Amino acid sequence: MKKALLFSFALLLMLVTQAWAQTRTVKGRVTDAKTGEGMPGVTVQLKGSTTAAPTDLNGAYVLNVPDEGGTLVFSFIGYTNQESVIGTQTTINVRLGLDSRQLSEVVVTGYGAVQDKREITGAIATVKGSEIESLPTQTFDKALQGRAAGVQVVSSGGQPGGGITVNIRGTATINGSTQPLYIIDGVQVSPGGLSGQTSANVLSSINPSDIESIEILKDAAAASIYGSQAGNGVVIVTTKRGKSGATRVKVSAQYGVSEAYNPYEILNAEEWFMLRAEAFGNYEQRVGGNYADGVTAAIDEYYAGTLPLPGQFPSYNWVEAIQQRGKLQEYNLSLNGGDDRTRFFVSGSFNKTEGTVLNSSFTRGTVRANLDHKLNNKFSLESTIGLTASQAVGPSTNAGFFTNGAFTGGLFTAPLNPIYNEDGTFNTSLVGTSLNIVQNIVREDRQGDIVQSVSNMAFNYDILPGLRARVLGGIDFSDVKDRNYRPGDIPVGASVGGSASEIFRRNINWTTQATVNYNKKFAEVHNIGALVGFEYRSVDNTTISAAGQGFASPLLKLVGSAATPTTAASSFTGYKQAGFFGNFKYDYKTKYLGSVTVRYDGSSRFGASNKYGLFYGVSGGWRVTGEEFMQGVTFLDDLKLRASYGVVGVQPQDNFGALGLFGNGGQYANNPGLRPIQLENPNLKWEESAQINLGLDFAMFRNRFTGAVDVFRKKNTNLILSRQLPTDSGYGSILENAGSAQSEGVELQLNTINVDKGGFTWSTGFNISFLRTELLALNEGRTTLNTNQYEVGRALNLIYTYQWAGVNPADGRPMYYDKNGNITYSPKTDDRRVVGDQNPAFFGGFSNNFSYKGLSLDVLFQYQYGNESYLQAAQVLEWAGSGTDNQVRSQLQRWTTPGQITSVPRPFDGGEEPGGYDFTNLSSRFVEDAAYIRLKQITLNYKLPTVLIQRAKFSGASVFVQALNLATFTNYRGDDPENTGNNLNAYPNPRTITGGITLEF
Amino acid sequence: MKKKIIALSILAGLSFQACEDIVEVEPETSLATSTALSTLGSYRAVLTSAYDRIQSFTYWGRDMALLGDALSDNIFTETSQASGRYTGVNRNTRSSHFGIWGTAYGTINDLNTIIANIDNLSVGSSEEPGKAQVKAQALALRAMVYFDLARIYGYEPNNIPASGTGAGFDKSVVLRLVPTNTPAEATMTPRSTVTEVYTQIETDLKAAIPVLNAAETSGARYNMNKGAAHALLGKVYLYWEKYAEAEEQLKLALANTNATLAPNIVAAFNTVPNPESLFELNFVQATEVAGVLGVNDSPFTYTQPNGRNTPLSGTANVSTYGGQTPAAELLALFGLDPTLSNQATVVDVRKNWFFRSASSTSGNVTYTWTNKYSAANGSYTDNIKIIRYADVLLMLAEAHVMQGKLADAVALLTTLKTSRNSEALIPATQGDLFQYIKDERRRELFFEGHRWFDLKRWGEGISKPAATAVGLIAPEDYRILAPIPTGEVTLNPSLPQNPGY
Repeated sequence: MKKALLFSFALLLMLVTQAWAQTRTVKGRVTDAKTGEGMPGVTVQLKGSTTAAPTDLNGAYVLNVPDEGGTLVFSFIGYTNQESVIGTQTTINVRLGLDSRQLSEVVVTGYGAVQDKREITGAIATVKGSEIESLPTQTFDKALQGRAAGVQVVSSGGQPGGGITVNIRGTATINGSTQPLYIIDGVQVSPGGLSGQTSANVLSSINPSDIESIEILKDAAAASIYGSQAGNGVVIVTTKRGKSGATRVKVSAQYGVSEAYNPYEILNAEEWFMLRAEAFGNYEQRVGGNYADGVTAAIDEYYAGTLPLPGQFPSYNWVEAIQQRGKLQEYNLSLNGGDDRTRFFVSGSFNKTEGTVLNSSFTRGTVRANLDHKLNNKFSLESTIGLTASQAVGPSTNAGFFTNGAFTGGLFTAPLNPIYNEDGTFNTSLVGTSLNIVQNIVREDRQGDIVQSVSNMAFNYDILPGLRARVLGGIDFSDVKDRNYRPGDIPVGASVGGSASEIFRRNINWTTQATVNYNKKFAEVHNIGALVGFEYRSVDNTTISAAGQGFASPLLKLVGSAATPTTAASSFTGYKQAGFFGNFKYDYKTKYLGSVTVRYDGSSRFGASNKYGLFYGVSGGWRVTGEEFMQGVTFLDDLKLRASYGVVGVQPQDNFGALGLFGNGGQYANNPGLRPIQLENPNLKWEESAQINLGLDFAMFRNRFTGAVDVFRKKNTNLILSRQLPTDSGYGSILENAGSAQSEGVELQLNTINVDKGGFTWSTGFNISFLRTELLALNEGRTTLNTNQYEVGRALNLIYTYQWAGVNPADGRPMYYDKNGNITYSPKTDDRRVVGDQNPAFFGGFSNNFSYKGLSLDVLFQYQYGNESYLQAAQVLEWAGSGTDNQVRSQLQRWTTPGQITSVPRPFDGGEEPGGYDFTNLSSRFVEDAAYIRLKQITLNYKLPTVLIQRAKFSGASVFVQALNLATFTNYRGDDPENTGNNLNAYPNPRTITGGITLEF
Repeated sequence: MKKKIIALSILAGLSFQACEDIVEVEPETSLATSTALSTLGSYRAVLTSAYDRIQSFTYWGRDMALLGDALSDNIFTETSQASGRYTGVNRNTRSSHFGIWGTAYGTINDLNTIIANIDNLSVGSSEEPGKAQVKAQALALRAMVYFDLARIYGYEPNNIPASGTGAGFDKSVVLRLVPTNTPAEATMTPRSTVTEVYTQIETDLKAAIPVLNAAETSGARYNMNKGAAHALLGKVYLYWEKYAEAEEQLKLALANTNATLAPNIVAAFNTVPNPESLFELNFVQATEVAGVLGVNDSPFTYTQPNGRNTPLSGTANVSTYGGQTPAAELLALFGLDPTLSNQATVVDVRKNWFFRSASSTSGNVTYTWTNKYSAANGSYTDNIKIIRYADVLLMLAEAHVMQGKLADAVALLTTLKTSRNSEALIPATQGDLFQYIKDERRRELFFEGHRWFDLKRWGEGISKPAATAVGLIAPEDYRILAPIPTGEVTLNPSLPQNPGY
């Protein structure tokens, strides 16, 4: 309503001012060439004059024009301008088409610089905010999965708001950081977990709906402006900024449910007991007794001498008991507008996600105010303020065989254990474990409260046209309060009458920058750009914590109520770095392109003799389609060849790894200890990553077929390796630079518009990355590391262990191959060999979009192939009932009779037969192909027709339903092939289905 | 112009210096090596660190007290109760053994740091005695750690097997007597011979003993002291089969301690400190056994029934992984049957170290447990008795017997027998007396970590409890020595692995 009033007023004004001239009117309607719908807000201007009018909600306009006519220009952001000669016409209808070139036009390249995509000579992938804004993920890094070639996103679990690892172009390092450098609106932020109590990700401070774009700088040439931190690539996140014009309000809400994805089928009590009785019997027989005596002992132990009737064993499913149906709700509000001097983007959001494990949740509120203001022609100001408060609550879902881990407890607890006593209290007398996991999850408090801000302020001063000086000060700040409370009336707290701990963590990360940027085009053909600058970053992480035990009541939970304080601790770590950098770009007619970048970068993490290092990148490009001789090749819209080379760094992860130190030496009889903890290495420095990239960008058939191919090799030398010292020296190792590794690969990104007819479009995005890593050298004299996880001449991250040889059909005992390939019952350490490789041969994503009128369907698959995963959970779950832990159903195939061919050994109490080897120890039996294809996301969106929404005075409205992780195709027998690495009962990524509505006005 | 250039270059020089400074951060929770050792207090703190390392559960905090009994014949591990703890050890599977290498050498480096540098510290005259004690304790502790390394990873000097995989194997551990200050000093050092290591232990103790104070207060027994150092040296001589020297040192040990034989050992055992302790390792529950450490790692959790321990610990019933139970063969030495049904008829007071109980996870099945670790010093927390009066007494008796001084031995054994109200008859011949001492050591010192090392030095082989189905481990068996960590052997070519691994 308001808007309509404004329009009428503007129209009225225009009519008044124009009334004096000798005029006539032209009217018409502007429609979207693709959808045929009217386009509001299109500027209709008489060329060469100030006479202009916007179109109304239907796309209609009326404009007074001189009698002699002229030319009308129709313009709208994101669409190709159109001109139309008026002549004698009185009605001019126009269809505006999307400017596909302009849409992918601008790429953020760091330090406030943007570049036309056609001029880019490095390898940069872009993910638009619009692709991810409505996804019900709490962090944007999760949303990157499957969307950009060469970017492998590995989730470490499905905990809401939880952590994730992003690898760009594979890792060619062993101890160096593998994480890319994250930059949010110019501020470098430290990724990684924030809370010690639950998994919370630092990147969860950003509401994904606020993101305008994410740029991923993949090669050294693109990333070298970030010097010693650029070795693993750079992820630049840019949040939305205001656009001048009438204020646009956007409101969205979504609600959804999620359920755990858990493929394990576990035994019921009767099956479990059957295996246990066999284990007891086999044991008894082996030590010279009777099989039957063993069975009797089992009956005594588990059923107090009286076995229930077959089919009537009371059985309890603990996995179901630790789970709940997850719920998710999210609300967003944003306002966007301004005039030509001041623009604003303001937003707020609220997200509450209840996880699929009892008592796990993530709640977050965010506020953002991004302001731009022009003080005058010279000065302008940008302020970017983002505030986030979040709370993560949850049981310990860290991967690991901790009995208090939700999945460890749920999967391993024997099914004969009732969860509750008959009177409704928790059963604490359990077979095989001392901890009732359900009670523990419900009664133990684990909570992290986080307040975060990533904010900055920047001043720009335009010295001359094209010459701009800029200073920026930014902060990445977080305060985290972690709390853990174990009441005295549950077993884990009982021994001390309840225990509590509280930890405050403060992370302050300052970034300041001063840059001067110059861009100018000479003689219409020589386009130059130059950037010089200085950046300083200081990171301080401090914690202070207290713990106590002995509580008067389980309702008193703060450390202050404890009878005995047990711990008062604090810690500090931090680093500082400074960098001077410059970049020079040149292109001739956007045809021959070149760029040189240099950074001189220093860090407190480096040893005294190597405080600063020089990093650089050079790149060049040739836009073939810019050549005269290509003018006739009409099917080709764009073709560009790119080549780049650069040397960047990977920093040591240990802030003080170069120093010789005396540190905490424990305590004895209440006295504090001090001990030498680290030897000095003044030469310690960055890993040097030399990266070469060859690329090809193309667009053809009127931009219906676009894509990029990149071939790269990244070779890291001076790897930060810990050189093993003989432990008898008192030290296990020292960090030094030695060895080298490389990762090479091919990336392909394709985007096609398959059908575009009659309002129906079908477009496809496909990306795939082939990757190969190789360890080239280690510390002098070494060829293997970490018990052959690393072996010179082979891929990084191998799985090296015993080779499983199956089960001896004669007696049911587990067999292994020794180093000569012979069968052994008791393998020795030198019988181990490489049995798997954790690197995928290729991975990527495949997306399809179908749209018809207002209806659109997005489907995204992600996939991975060729990697093995070490399934640690199976080491317990596949023990043929030799221990009290519950087992997966495959264990019912255990060996029972001579001659039987099976892969499951006979149960033997304790697992380890005298003279044998415990078959739950790691062997190739637990190494599993983890290839998968996952239907990551499917979204059905319906944009309500203009006619309908107009009545409701909206400018846009849509409703959508979407699902995450709906289906997974894999042969992997673990819980979630996405949780790679050691599968120690992590939190599987849940299936989530949500529905929502978005309104704009 | 010239001036300008000079000014500019000074500025450039300054800013270059500034560049170095702006990227410096002091680690506030640690000290630079150059400034760490500036006061006597800091040396005391390094000594504390050595005690802290000795407290590790994989060293004296548990394994030295219990693992040897599981490796030998005092413990039967109930797998259904143990949650994997010591199951391989009790069945003597390959490489299930002591693993103190890293902890021990960390301790030795701390001690070497003290021994090599403390003489350069100048202190006021009032601090001189304290300084001397710090150094003497460091020397005696270094001897103790080397003795533990020597008896875990090597044979005794006079007890090297003549046959089997270890025939003539006289390698002991790596001797390091100066601290490692730079990576270059972390050299690949070969293993010394057993005699070299034993000689070094003797040297250190002889240097420490004259300086060390006797433990006047009961709290002083938490630190290495004169009596304990004598006893340790006596023990070293006994292992070395130097019986006259052993006798001398063990007598000095008894003369230099205010520890006494306790009238009721079962009650006394769990008082803090134990009146029989010459040297006892103290644990502070709130800082050293707090959180999950107790339930995961403590001797209490290894030996007590899960969820059925209130009357013993005096606290709530707590969770344990109590699979380490006394073997039937051990009970038989007291005349007890495996289910303790005749416990009332036995008069030896030490029978009360055993009790019968189900656990909260064993249904109506009961097991026999022992109560030497009963959370006497707080939840899950027990002090470890490194050197105890009865041990010294039995060692002295053994030294007498081996020298044929049978009457002296009988007198000592009678004192102990009377104190324990034992009915076992003290025999008369040298051979029988030796056997009596062996049995009495087992009766008195089970679950305190002596049995494995005693059987090893006596060269007897290990007759495993029948319930383990392992049978006899011959004295030539490769498992008599612990494996040196694989990583060390791979790294250091001059560090041969123990034979058979």
